[in-house]
Amino acid sequence: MQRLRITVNGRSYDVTVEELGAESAPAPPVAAGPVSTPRPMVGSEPPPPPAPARATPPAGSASGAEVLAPLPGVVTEVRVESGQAVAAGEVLLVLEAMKMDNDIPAPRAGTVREVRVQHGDQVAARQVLVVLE
Amino acid sequence: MPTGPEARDLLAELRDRERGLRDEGRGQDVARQHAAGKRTARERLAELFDPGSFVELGLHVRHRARDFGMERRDVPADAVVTGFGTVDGRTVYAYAQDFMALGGSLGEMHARKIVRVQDLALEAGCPLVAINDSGGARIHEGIDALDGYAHIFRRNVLASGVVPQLAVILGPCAGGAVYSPALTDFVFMVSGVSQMYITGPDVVRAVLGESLTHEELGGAAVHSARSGVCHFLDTDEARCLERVRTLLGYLPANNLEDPPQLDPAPGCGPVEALRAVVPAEANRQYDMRQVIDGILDPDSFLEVHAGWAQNALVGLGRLGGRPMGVVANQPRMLAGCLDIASSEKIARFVRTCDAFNLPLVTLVDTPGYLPGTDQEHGGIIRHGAKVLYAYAEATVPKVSVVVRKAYGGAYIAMCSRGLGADFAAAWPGAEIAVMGPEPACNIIFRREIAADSDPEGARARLVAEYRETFAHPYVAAARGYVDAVLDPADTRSWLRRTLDAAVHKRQDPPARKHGNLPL
Repeated sequence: MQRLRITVNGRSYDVTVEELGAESAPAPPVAAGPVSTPRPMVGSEPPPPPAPARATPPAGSASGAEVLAPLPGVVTEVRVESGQAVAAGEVLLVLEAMKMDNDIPAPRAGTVREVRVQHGDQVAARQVLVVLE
Repeated sequence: MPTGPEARDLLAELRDRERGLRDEGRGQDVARQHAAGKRTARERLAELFDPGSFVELGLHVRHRARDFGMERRDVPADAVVTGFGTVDGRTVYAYAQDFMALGGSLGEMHARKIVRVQDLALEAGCPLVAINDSGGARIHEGIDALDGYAHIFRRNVLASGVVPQLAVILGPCAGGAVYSPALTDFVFMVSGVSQMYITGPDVVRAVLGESLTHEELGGAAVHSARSGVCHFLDTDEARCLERVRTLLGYLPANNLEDPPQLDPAPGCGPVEALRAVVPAEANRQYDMRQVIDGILDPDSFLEVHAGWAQNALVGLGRLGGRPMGVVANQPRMLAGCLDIASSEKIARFVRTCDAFNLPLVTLVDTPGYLPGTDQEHGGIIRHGAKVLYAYAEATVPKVSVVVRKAYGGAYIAMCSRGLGADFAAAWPGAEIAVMGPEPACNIIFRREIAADSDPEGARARLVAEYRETFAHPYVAAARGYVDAVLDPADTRSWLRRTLDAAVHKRQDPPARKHGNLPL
């Protein structure tokens, strides 16, 4: 948590900056009224610039680099080590949870920078298991 | 009609007026819409309907706004194209908002045009397709615009469960406008084209200081993977509209009709491949889609909510040519457990199928509900209750097959006989029990295990005994909780026969205003 003072057009704002985990999704605020942000209507204006389509990271990974535990469980197998190149979908490790050996695949191709768990570790949901380059 | 050189050429005037209102007379606007990677409202309707079948209503409608300079502004067709046409020969009503005219903004007359096709569709008992591409309420028209939304929402609710309502988001859909799609049966979005949010990035930045693009806040990827608002995600408009046509092919025109039956697909013999899908080890993952593919007519599975809550699979398919809904656990994701999101996904789909006379096939392989504070504090009790409610309430034919695991409350929830399945079966490797062997033994034999000189050895022995006694389908079969233990290869044929046998079932729920679904 960090407190900052920002001056915009001569007006100063005191803000509190909280660093969120990469996985925390922004919760849309509840609108005060039913139609709160219609875009201004001026003639036949062009549509909003098509934003660069940034794919949402699949569940269980954040920013494409950290592979997270999709559910709490016990690591029963670690199949990669740091420095190793992996293909998208390749199984990085196996997590025993809910009566199942859950394969944890690489969300994309890359190199393993770090393996943060070892065989037998109990992990929590959304704990970082592996970091990819 | 008057003739002669001095007479006004009435037909020429009509053509002139039409030209100015249609795409032909609006070259610059059309070019701008195309440059944004989007089609025009009329192009979209032409693509949706059978060629040449669209009949437009209200082309000449004009707004009545007199403030903020609106009295001098022409808004062709008041920024929405409304009418009806045919899809595979069946009548469908539709409207498409015209972003080229005042940003597709919704004012009084725009709303009235929409309300009119909503009323027509409901009275005629025909589906309604709503193509959204609008900046929102037309500010110039103030609360007349808001009132317009209210009328649209009310008709969405009136038509709910009577005629299929499909919302196709092909542009922005912001603020209160999102609630019309949210009240329909299915929402379609296209990557990079569709956005939905209650408050846009500017407000989010002002209130929370978070900088987000339209796409990050409410793009197609977000709504199809995280929020569950979107049922069908496509990469371009043409594929999206084709999928709308495909979906309509599974749905009846209204709740009093049966879904369109195709000629029965040939072949209801054994499907040998189904014997090899489920691994012999109870703790190995596999893809439940292989089971679905082995049961349904070839290439007939149309998955709904494919990107959201992937530990459950739901979708429409055909068996012997007859459309039906399929609900399944997906052992490959989160072990196939039930959690908040998958409960909502299943419950919503079951109710959609029940409303539109689609029989339900449920394929069970679930270890139970996902434990943890996230789930408990997030309200899994009331969200999970939706699944029970939806299945118990549904009066369409319901058949369930336990493919592997069916434990505890999740066994009940996944359409057990007791909850209301008309027929239930299990595969020979099924484990139907109140809980898994280890936790069950830890409870039942707690004292014995603790008192034993070799507690771990005793535990292992008791677990093995429990597994042998309970982890198979024959206890459930002996009680009649499953009607049959099936060779997996015979599942398709068994489902087809049982659904045939239940297709005319009649159930009259007690008279009431409505039940109280735990929302």
